[in-house]
Amino acid sequence: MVSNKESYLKKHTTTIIIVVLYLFYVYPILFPFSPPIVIGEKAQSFYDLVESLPDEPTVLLTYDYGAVSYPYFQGFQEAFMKHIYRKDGNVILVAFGAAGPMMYKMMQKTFAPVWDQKTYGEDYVFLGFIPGGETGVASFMADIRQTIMIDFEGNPIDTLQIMENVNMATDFDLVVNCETSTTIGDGFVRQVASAYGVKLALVGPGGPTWEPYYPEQIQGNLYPLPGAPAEYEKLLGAPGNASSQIGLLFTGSLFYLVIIICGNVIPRIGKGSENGNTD
Amino acid sequence: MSQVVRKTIPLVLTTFIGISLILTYFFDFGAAGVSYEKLLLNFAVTIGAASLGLGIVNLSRLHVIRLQRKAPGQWYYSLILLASMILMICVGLIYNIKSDAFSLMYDATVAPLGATMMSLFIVWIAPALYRSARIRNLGSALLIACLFIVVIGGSPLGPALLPFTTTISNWLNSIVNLASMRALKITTAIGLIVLSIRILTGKEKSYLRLGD
Repeated sequence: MVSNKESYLKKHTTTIIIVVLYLFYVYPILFPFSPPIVIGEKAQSFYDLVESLPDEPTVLLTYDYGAVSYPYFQGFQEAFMKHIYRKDGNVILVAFGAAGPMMYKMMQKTFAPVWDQKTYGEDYVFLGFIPGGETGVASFMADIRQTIMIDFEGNPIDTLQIMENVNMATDFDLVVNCETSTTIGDGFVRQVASAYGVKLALVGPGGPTWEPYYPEQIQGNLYPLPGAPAEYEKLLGAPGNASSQIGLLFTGSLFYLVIIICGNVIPRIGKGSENGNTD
Repeated sequence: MSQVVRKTIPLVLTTFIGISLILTYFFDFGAAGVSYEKLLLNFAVTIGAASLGLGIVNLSRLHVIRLQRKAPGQWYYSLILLASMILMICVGLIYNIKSDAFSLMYDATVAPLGATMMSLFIVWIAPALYRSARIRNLGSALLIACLFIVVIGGSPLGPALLPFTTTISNWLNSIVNLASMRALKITTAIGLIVLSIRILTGKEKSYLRLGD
């Protein structure tokens, strides 16, 4: 016979799991802590890739994600821009996802400390949203001016200092694409790395699916979730958003481990005591 | 006439454009070839932009029909969707998408709703994981062992608690995952080539929707 306590636990399993989940996620918010950050191979190779760029590099940062995924990329993008500005470089932003313009508005708010010391049109520019998916990427890389004539702010791109010698893919020292899906990443490999031989890095949770391209076609493959952006920040010596989330990532991962262990142990204990009673 | 418009012309256009683009990729036709390629790419971008408008029309049609029929359990969602869409379009058109008003609308609705959906996903997946990630046989034991190692090794837990899991996790990712992903990508590419050949030779016509 199953005791009342056991049947209560069985009945309220979901509620208990959700309460425990909240505890695991709330704890690092109330009591922030930072577990040790060990530099992984992916973060190190991405850092080395940016370091290997010539002085004053022109970098294209493209993105295809919405508000939900913004926290994935916020820390990485901020650290990346700091890294490029350390080398006196320029960052050209363009979106291949429809939510791109809104993500740029979010960036304006969160990247204010970085961009406040920089001039729009000279150190960075947002060229807006280009539809068409991979075809849009192909068109943009083949001829920027034929694909778009004005930037997001409505300035003709010929009037922007940053765009002076930038006409096509080969004018970029590095192309970095951030995305949550995995479809356009393959498109970047075809339209940027294979077609023009330009250095390419892909950043996103789809990282494992891009492994076959690394390190030949893509020189950087950074997964934001396992804490690679925090490792990148550590390499830069500039802890930021990604480093502050590492405690949450630690307890979040720990929670799933606890759930897997409990899922395998608790039912067996229950069964054991049930058998013991009936026997 | 209808057969010519619905079948013959699209087939001829598809074959001509497809083959000419392949030729411009493999052979040098000088400035004319480059211009032709860029022109077609621009067409595709313009069509992509137009498809967003088409999406709005299709979505509106679907939900207006649901509203007209007062579909049980659905019509009020359709009403909310249409009202939200019209409001966002109006604010975007009147104030411009660069305006603070449009940003506020997005930040106050789409962003928190998206975050809510993701959070709910986590809440939903935790009890599901508790019930499904169980060792029942050798296969499930191997799967859970891999899950365990990847979760520990791929997160900050690995270096802090069990450093060896990071090495195993990296090996799983760069050898086992790499091999399977490579096989998947190569077979997908071969499939795409076969499909492209079928489309270019007019054998694959399902995209014309002739049966509709």
